[in-house]
Amino acid sequence: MTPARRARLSWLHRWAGLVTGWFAFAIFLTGTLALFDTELTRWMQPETAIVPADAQLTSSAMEHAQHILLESEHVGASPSFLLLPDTRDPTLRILHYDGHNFVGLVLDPRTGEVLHPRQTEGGAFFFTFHYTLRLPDPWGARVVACIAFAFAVLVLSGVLLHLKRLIPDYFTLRLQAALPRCLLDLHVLTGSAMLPFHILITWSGLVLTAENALPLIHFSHASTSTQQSSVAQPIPPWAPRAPLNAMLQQARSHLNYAPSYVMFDGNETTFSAIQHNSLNANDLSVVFNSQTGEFTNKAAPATKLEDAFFILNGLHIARSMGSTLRWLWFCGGLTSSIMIASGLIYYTARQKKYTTSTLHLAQRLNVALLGGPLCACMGFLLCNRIIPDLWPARASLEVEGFFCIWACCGLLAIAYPPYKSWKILCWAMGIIGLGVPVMDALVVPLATLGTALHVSINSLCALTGLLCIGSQSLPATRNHHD
Amino acid sequence: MTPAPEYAHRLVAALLCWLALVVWGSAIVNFYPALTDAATQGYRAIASALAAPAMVWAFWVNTPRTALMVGAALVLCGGFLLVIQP
Repeated sequence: MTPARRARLSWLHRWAGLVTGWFAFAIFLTGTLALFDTELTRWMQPETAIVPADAQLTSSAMEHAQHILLESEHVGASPSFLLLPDTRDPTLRILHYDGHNFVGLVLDPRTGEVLHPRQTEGGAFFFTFHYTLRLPDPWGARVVACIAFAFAVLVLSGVLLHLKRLIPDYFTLRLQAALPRCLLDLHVLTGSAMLPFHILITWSGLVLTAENALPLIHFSHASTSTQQSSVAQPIPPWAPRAPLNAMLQQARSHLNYAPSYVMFDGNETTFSAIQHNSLNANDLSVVFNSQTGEFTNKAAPATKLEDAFFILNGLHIARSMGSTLRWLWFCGGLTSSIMIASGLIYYTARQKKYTTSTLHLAQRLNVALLGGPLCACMGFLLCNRIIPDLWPARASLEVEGFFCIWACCGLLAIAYPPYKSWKILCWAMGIIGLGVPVMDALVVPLATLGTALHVSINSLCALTGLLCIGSQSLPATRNHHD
Repeated sequence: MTPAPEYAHRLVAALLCWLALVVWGSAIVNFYPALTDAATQGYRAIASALAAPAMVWAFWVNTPRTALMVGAALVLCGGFLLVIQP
């Protein structure tokens, strides 16, 4: 590669990284956490821990759920759907969309008794943030699509820049070296070690956001668009009249899988099964008549092209994956986040000799937009334990807590020099990370605290906290990090 | 050191490459209305894979003029195909 071409690619890599890297970091971090959204929701609702992991769904619970659905329809509520118990979440949930998230009642699948867990958006918050940044629809999805495009350009230009040293870079990490060298090693190592993951997740993300990033232009249909009626239409009956139990038994035999969720649409009741331990995100479905309970049809098998598309979706969403692959994806997501963060900090560390306004801005943005999301994510978990269970609108208060903590990190970055604000932020993250298991132990019963779910999440939070505090004593960070 | 206007031209060329993918994809999908769903999915999967190389290519070529000319020509051809569709 000629030096001029290398300089052009470096310029592209640097500026595309600087403009989109901070958002990409938040997207990757929340996407990584969203891999365990169901588990996080269960952790954030410790009241559901009374349901054992192997609880079986009984007919009385289904009858009670059907009764609740009929009552909801009677009071004019919008259609709900049933989330049936599975290995990741053993509770029975009756959910509807509130404009931001799926909310509703939680039932014990053994008895049908309504549990009263604390209100929370749970792990779904991270999932929604990952693909909308909590911006109004459709702008959030559009911004994320643009960032996905820029990230694809970053990955390709980075690979071209380091192509010659791709193999040696696997074995290079000089922690004792000066900060810029250490950061560059870390950036290149995390980039090259997980390169197939970066390419896969970026491409599948691009395909998922392609509706916004690669729109279709239709000249001939532009003038024929119909206007939506602004008059509110009454909600037609949707709740099933025929026994759900009988339909569930039939659905099991038709699908050869345990159904994962049940949807109600007009006169149809659809039982769908997630293909667990598979990469395919195509859910198998059977449809019944809601009035008579008769089997209507089974969804036709997907074509090869559709299957390829569903596998691409499955590889990104990771909903049907087994736990080993999910943990591998989690490690991949963390590696990507470290790659982005080290690249952004490297930019400021390398140019410390020159004092330009761009550099000062980048240093402060690093504090606000790299430390901020990490601190806010752990703060979100801590808020869940601090806000009283019966506090009105506590779910939205948790979300406000997340953004308040992030805003405080931004103020910190403005108020103090970067070195000092990093130090304060590291201590704050350490305290929050260590505070999560402490608060969990104070709030949650002892029997629940010992479950694998609580042990894993509490340990990860404590480990993050300790790493943040410990990062202060790394040789490379002793002489100021930016 | 490369002058700033050259980078600006290359950035415009990169955006033209993206636009070319959109207009060519739309034209191809519109030419096969019977296969719209499959064609749309196929177009998006292929275009997503091509987008990054196409945009990086604008910075790979030696002169920004080539990048601009090729990008603009691709957009115009795609646009023409889109307009003349049945």
